[in-house]
Amino acid sequence: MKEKLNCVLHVLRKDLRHVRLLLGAWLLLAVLATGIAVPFLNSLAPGTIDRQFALAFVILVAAEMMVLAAIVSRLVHDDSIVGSTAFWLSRPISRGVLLASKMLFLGLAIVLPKKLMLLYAASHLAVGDFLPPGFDWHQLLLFSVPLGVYLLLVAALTPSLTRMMLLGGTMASIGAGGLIGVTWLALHLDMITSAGLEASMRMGTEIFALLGCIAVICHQYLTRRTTRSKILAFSGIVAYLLMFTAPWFLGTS
Amino acid sequence: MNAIIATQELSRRFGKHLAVKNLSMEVPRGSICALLGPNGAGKTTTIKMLMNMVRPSGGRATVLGMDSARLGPGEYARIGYVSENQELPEWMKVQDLIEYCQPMYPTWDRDLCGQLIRQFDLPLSQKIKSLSRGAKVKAALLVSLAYRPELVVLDEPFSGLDAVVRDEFIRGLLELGGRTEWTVLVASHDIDEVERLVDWVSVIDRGELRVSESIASLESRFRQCELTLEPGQRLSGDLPDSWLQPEAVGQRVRFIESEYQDDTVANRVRQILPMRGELTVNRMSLKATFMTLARSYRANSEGES
Repeated sequence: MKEKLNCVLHVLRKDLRHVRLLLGAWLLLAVLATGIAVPFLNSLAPGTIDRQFALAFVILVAAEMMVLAAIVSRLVHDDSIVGSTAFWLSRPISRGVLLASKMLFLGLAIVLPKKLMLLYAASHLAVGDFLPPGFDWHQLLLFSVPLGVYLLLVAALTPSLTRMMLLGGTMASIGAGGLIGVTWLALHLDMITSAGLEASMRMGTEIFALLGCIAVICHQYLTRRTTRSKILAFSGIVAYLLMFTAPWFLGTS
Repeated sequence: MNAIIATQELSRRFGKHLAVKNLSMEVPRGSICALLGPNGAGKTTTIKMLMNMVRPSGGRATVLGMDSARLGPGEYARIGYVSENQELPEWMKVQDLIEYCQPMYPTWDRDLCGQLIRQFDLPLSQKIKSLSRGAKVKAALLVSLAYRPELVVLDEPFSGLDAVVRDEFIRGLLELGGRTEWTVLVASHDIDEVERLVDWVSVIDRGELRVSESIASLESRFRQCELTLEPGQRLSGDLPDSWLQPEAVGQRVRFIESEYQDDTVANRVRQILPMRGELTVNRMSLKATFMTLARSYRANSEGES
C-alpha cells in the first residue's frame, strides 16, 4: 500500500513539474476572473451590466477554459491510455496508480482552487441579483466540477489535444443538439410546465453527469478498452438528456 | 526447455487482417533470442502482446511464468523494454528521466547506471526532444537496463541507427550480458543487426512462426550443395522438400539442404540425381540461411495463392 502511495505521489510530482507554467497561468486567469468579477458586479445596480466588462469577462473565462484544456491534455496524454506506445505501459506503474495520481492532480490543482475561488465569490457576491430565483451558490459550486472532469474524460479517450478537441466538441454538440431538439419537441407539444422545469433542476442531473464522467474515466483507465469507453460516454449523454428532460413530459418529479 | 517466454496458439486480428496466426513458440531462459522477419511479419504485434500492450484475439502467452494479460508492476520491474515506437517523455532532460525511473525499481544499480551513462556518452542536461535518434535509443536503453532486468525485450532497436551507434549499442548489451543472468528477445527485420548478439532464432513470416531453434542447430542444419549432373541429365521437379531453392545452369546444379547430416547427404543426392564427380558442400552464414528461408516462404505463399 505504501509503495502504491509513493508511486501515486511520484507520478503526481512529475505531472506538477510538467504543467507548472500552464497551471500558474490558469490560476492567474481564474483569480483574475473571480477577483475582478466580484467587486465589479457588486458595484453595478441590479439589472445593469456593462457590455465592455461582460466582453472582457467572457474572454477571460474562455482563456481560462482553453488553458485548462491544455493542462488536462498534457496531464493525460503524457501518459496516454489510448494506443500502445506510451512510456508508462512498460514501467511498473499500475493502471489504478496512474488513475489515482491523475484524479489527485485534478482534485488538488484544479478543483480545490476553483472551489475556493467560487466560495469566495459566493460569499462576496449578491447572488440573488444575478442568478435565477431558487438557484443557490451550492449549485454553482457543483457546476464548477464537471468541466475539469469532463475534460479529463475526453482526454482519457483520445491520444492528443487535437483529437481531444474533436471528440469533446462532438460530444458537447450531440448533448447540446439533443437538448435543443428535445426542448423544441416539448415546446411544440406544449409539455413544458414550471413544475417540470423545477423538477429538472432537482433531479440531481449534475451529480449524475459527474458520476457518469468518473465512471467512464475509471473504466478507461482500468481496462484500456477505448471503444467500449466511448460507447459508455455517448450512452451517458443520452441518459443525461433523458434524465434532464423527462420531468417536462411527466409534468412533475 | 526452461522457457521464460512461451506462447500457445497466440493470434491477433486487426479488422479483417490477421497479423499473428496461432503462434506457438518458446524463448529459453538465459538465451539471447532474435525474432526475425520482414517488415509487417507480425513481430511488433507479437511483442506488444507479450508485453500486455495489445490484447490477443486468441491463444495465450506466459512471460516470467505469468499470463501476459495479467502482467503487473511486479513483472514490469523485472522486464526492460525498448522499442523504436516507444514514446519517451520528451520534455524531460536525460537526468530527469533517470530520476523519474529510478524510484520505481528496487533493484536499480547506481554504479551500472553511471557506467552506462559514460559508455553511451549521454548528455544528462539535454532535453530528450533535442537528442538525435541514436541518443534517444541509448537513453531508453539506459533506463531499461540500469535495474538489471531478468528479461530484456527490444523491438527493432537498431532501426535508423548508423553503424557506429549500432555497434556501441551491441557492445553495451554484450558487456552487460557477461555480468548479468538475463534473457534477451530482440525483434529485427535485418539479421546483420543481431547476428553478433543472438544464440537462438525464431523466424516469423506473415504472422506465422517458421523456425524456432538455436543458432548452432540452424548452422549445422543448412548447407549449400553444388554438383554437376551427368551429360544429358536434367534437374527433375520431384526433389525432396528439404532441398530449398534448387537451380540449374547447364549441368551445374545448386540447392540448399535444410536437413543436412554429415554422413548421409552425398549418398542421398546420388540416389536422386545422377551426378558426375564430387558433391561440394559449403557452410552458410546466418544471413544466407535467413535469406533462403525468407525466399522459400515467399515462394511457397505465392504458390499457394
